[in-house]
Amino acid sequence: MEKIGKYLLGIGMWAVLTACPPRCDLITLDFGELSGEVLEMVPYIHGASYGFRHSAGQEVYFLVDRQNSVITDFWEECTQVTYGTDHTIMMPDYPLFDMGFWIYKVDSIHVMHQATIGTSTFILPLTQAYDPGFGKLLDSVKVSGKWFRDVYRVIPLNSAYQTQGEILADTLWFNTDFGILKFTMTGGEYFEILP
Amino acid sequence: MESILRSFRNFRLWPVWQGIIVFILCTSCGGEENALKKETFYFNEYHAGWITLDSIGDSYVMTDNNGISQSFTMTGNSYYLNKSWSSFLGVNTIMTYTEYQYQFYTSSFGISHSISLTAGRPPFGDDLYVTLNGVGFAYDFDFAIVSRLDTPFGYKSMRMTDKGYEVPDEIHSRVEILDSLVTPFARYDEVLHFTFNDFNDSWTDKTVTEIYLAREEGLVKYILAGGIYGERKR
Repeated sequence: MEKIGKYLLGIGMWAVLTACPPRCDLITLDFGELSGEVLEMVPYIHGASYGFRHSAGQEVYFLVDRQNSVITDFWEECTQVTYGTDHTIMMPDYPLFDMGFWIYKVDSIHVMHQATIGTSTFILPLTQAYDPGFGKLLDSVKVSGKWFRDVYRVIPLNSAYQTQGEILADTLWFNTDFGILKFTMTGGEYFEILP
Repeated sequence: MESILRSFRNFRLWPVWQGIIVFILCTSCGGEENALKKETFYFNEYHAGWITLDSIGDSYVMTDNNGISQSFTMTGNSYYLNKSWSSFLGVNTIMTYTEYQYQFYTSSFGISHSISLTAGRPPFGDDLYVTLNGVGFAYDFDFAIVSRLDTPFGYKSMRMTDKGYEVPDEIHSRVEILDSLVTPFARYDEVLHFTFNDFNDSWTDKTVTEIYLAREEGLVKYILAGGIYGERKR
């Protein structure tokens, strides 16, 4: 009987020791909200419509749904991060792909501006602090018969994974006053902002 | 129990016991593989031609009537014999293998398209199931009817019985096999043409209403409710 009691005691101690893992000290990071200046770099307004013309002539209008928020997330087990984020979804009035933007703080200083056109993802080097090297700032570019200043020419992140024959957005021209000015597709077709 | 023991002591009944033991060993040790009867259903050779010859990673381009193109890339292609069985008192009586193939494509516009073929089990014929941007239909080659619809607007299915289909929900959508289809880019012989004609009140301009499949090639044309159509470029 005494032997059984010892076994039960051992099992009980084991259960107590393993049931409560050592507590970690929670680290709380607050990267803060996105500033107005950073948000204005993507000049699309919630509820507005923006037009583009396809190289064969079809006009397509994209309706903007834009939401700004501050979210709290966990990094690994003991780090809680709060950061500002902004989502823009552009839905076409024509059977075509969606476009979108995602702005978020990667730390208290750096901000990521990410654009998607269909399945292509572009990192926009809009802030000096974060430029992974996929874009180039051009002094001026002519699009739809009109000159635009300070234009970023960007190639997508995922172009290396493209299979032969796929038609994807392969270059994006963007500026902070008008947003997307033009993008070309791998098959040679392109879309330009309506003048 | 006593009568069982008595019969076991009776030497004349030993062959019966031996038979029972051999039967139990044969049916239990090999698991489901050792059924009393096996049957396998294969595709009709002609119907198998509605599966494409593409491999994973292959792409084709569809261009619409306004000159806007999207590519479809095969991202899944699986073939196997689907196994099913029935059992009685723990003994597998019938093991059935059914030939099946599934092909899946995604487009650069984010549209999904799939083609699958399941071998028919009498009285039913081979079952071709096709989806494009959420609109799916099944076609029974032997009965030459659309037997089921699975769409964003609802589901309809004919009831399968021993004698064939019963019609709880009338399906108005149709399939016809065309001798040929001519597009600005190519001519295709033998084309399966699906016309969606159910849940019409719920359609939007972007709803797929017609699908054309060419033998061994797959999707060659689609028409949307708003009038836009796309054709395969060669």
